[in-house]
Amino acid sequence: MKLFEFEAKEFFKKGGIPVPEGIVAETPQAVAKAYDELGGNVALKSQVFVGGRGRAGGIKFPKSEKEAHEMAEELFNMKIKDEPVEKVLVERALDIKQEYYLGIITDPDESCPLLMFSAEGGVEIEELAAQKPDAIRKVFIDPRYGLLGYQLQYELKEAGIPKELHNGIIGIARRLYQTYWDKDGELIEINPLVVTADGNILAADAKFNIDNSGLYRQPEMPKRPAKTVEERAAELTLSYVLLDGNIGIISNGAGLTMSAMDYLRQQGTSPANFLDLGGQATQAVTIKNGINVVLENPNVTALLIYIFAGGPRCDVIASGIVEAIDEMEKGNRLHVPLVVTLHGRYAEEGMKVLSACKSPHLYQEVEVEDAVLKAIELGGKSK
Amino acid sequence: MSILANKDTRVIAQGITGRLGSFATGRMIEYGTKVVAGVTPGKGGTESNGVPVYDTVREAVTEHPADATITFVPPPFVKEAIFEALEVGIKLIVVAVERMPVKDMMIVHQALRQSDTVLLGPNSPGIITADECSIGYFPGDVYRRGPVGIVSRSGTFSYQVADYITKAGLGETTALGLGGDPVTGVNFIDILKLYEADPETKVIVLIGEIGRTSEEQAAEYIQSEVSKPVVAIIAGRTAPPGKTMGHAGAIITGGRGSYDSKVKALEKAGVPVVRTAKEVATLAKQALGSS
Repeated sequence: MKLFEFEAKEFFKKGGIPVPEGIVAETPQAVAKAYDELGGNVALKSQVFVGGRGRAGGIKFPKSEKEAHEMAEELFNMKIKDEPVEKVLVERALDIKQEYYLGIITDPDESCPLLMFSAEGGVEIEELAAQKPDAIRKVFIDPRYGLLGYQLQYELKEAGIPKELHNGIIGIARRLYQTYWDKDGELIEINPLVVTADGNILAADAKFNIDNSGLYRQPEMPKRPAKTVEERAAELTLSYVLLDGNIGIISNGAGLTMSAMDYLRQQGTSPANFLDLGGQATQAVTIKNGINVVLENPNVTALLIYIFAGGPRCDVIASGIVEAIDEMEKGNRLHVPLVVTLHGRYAEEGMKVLSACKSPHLYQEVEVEDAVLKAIELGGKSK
Repeated sequence: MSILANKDTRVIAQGITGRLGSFATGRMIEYGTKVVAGVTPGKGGTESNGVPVYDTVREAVTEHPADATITFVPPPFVKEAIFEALEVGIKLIVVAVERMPVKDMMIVHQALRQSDTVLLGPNSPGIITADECSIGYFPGDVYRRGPVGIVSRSGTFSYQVADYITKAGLGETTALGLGGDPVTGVNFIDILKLYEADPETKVIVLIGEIGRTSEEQAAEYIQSEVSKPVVAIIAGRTAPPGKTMGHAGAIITGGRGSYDSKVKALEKAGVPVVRTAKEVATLAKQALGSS
């Protein structure tokens, strides 16, 4: 789960990490009022998840209350990489002397938290990693002990950071780590970490992503209504990613679903989506939900269902497919062919269940490679 | 021979009385696995799937010494279940559970570094040694004893690959899943080491997917330490970057974990990377013929 900058900064404040004074606003009027309340000299920052918002014009510096209103109107009408701007953070502008980078991620290769610091703040860390990997100083953290100050001190020295800043930066890093750890973070980032002209160190920007598997024990995290089809699918325990092709895919297990995508591309067309029912999806209703989600997408011209059952039974899944077809046909909602290939537990029984269904929309193949070809034959290739 | 599990492996099931635990344990016993006891706190003294249930792992192994455990307990309790098994010295832990908090697994990982216990998972289909023992969710009919060792980050995709291998007349020694989460117990290298040492395994099949850099690390290891032929396939060649593809670990971020980088590393180590599950079997057969 991703947090907006203003949400992340609330957690920063609670964790003792200094942030600029700011007010969140949802209308141009509220932005103008906040400008006034903060006494001018503010930045208007669009609250979006995508990176590169500054370059996209999502941050503005008004010179008057009137200009704040106008610029806010502009921001609220804007989409940054397809993401609408619904909230603006009005924040006291900083007199910046120096910009650094400070972040912590869960590192899958070392299986522990990894703190990264760079004297070159303000640039996206991926970009920095690609262009100047040596500019990133790394500290691997043993979660049994937490961040040890001396580890970072050494790196700050190596990075040539003035000594009088060491204690301040280490203090913020300790609190940043604690916030990441206590809240089941998977990424927490201050970019830039700013040193102001009067020597204060604070988090000018904030990024904070939470491990979805830890959310159950994080009651303070914001509850968001599911907006996108991907989020609604997730509420049904389906892993769904919308893509731009024409052949819908439903499969069970992440690797198998990706392999279905790879098959389609190899045959010269593109998948309309990724939908993983979960390797252990055992119930008929799961696949019914899956079919409904995929067919919401108007670009789907054929649906490929590829199941390899280890735990679940193919006959149960097959009956879910048949039920979904029946329901959709009764409602006159089914307009595309479904090509199904079943493997693993009770595959033969599952194929019998499908054979008994007389729907003109249902096709069945024994081999997955034939199913892929059939789906393309029926659905055509994407442009 | 085989690796990690065989017909003599004595297994306990933690969370045996839950819906998933009871179902999977039943299937494991059907396959011939020696499930000696189950554990569910509060259910000690009862029976499930014909095996006795205990409140704690310590009580279970005192009565029924065990080599391996499989954990089906709900995500909030997995960390403790793993520590309970580690504490009594169980050598193989399978964590089938999905959605274990990554933070908990990082804590477990530190403990694993100081132990010789092998942990598969979280989010692992488990391990199967063909015709002997299945600890997990495997569709047993797919596997036949043969010379191929399989190590995989996927579950169901590895069943598909095994199916082609079996149908090509080859068969498997052992097949196992490392787990689909961002932090897992063991990685490719730990398992490659075991297959290299197993005299019955003649070819190793490595099934990777996008995300992380475990395949790149495996490639380096293969180049210097593995003499047996390895055939690889990576799922997600056409996955878009920045999106989590089902497994929390399957995501390309900041140029790391991409398909191309994995293929490049593996090919440099002399490992052919094929594009379809069927070709894995074809190449494994060729490798056997020439070795």
